[in-house]
Amino acid sequence: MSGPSEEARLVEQGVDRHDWGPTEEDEEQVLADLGYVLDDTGIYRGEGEPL
Amino acid sequence: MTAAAVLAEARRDLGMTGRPNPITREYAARHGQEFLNAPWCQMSITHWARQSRSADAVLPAGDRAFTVWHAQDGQRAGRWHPGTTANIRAHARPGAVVFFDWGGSDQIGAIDHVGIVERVLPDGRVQTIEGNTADACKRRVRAANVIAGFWNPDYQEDDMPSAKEIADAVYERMTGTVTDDVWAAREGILEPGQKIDPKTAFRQIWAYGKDGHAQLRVILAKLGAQDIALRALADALAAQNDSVDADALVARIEAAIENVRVRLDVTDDDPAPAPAATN
Repeated sequence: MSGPSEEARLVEQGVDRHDWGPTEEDEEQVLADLGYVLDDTGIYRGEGEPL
Repeated sequence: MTAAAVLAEARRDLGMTGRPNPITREYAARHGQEFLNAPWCQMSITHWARQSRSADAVLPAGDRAFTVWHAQDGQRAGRWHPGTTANIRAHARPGAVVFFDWGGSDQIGAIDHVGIVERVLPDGRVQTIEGNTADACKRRVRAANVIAGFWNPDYQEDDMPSAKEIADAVYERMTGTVTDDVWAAREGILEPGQKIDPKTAFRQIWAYGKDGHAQLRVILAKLGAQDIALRALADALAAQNDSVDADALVARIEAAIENVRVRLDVTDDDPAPAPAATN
């Protein structure tokens, strides 16, 4: 039986160890200003203002 | 193979949470069950690229779950930009793959996380869609201090105008200039040379219709008053002269009015007598 692939091992060791990252202070305001709509699960949805 | 298609796939997954999930399942089905519960930020990029048939542009070396390898793919393609504000302003595009180092370096080997750029903000930050940001797919806002670097896949849409550019062009196409030979200019409603865009045109039509309706009500009120006066006059004549039949007199006058023909295509300035009335 073979073990995890090299990529799987690297992912476990090095990716998303701190998966939030620092949050920009005005993140919610920026997303709202771009026209996205916050739903009740905390997700900003929609197409926003035209690009 | 467009940035818009990749972003459309990313938007479709907004709100996905937990693991295993459709993204990790798809990756695990091709590369091994150990990916089922693995960190899935880079697997998200792979998923959106494949689902949008943009793998040739986004995954030049094939599927990726390890962020560092995918950043190196971009570097080998000569597309890598270190994550400075100046580079973001100059080079980042919607659809760019953006890599993060929470430690703040621009070192590929230190990359922790990845997302896809949805918008480049005027202040030099980017708005992203990221898989596995706290085990969910969400929109985020990121600044250069955590961006290690980014690269723009070779999408086939560089000369495609944006939706706003298309909308502006359509609006411009539908905007006209008033010439002095149109009716509204002759009537003094619009000024020759005046620009009329669709919004102004609709407002003008509405205002003119409203004004016409008000004038029509005044005319109808005057006609009603004239009918009453005519009837009173006929009754008065009949009271003074037994030979006058008031009803017959009113009927004759009404029939005569019915036969009046008015020409509407003659202006007040025309030398010829304008309204030609017959009875």
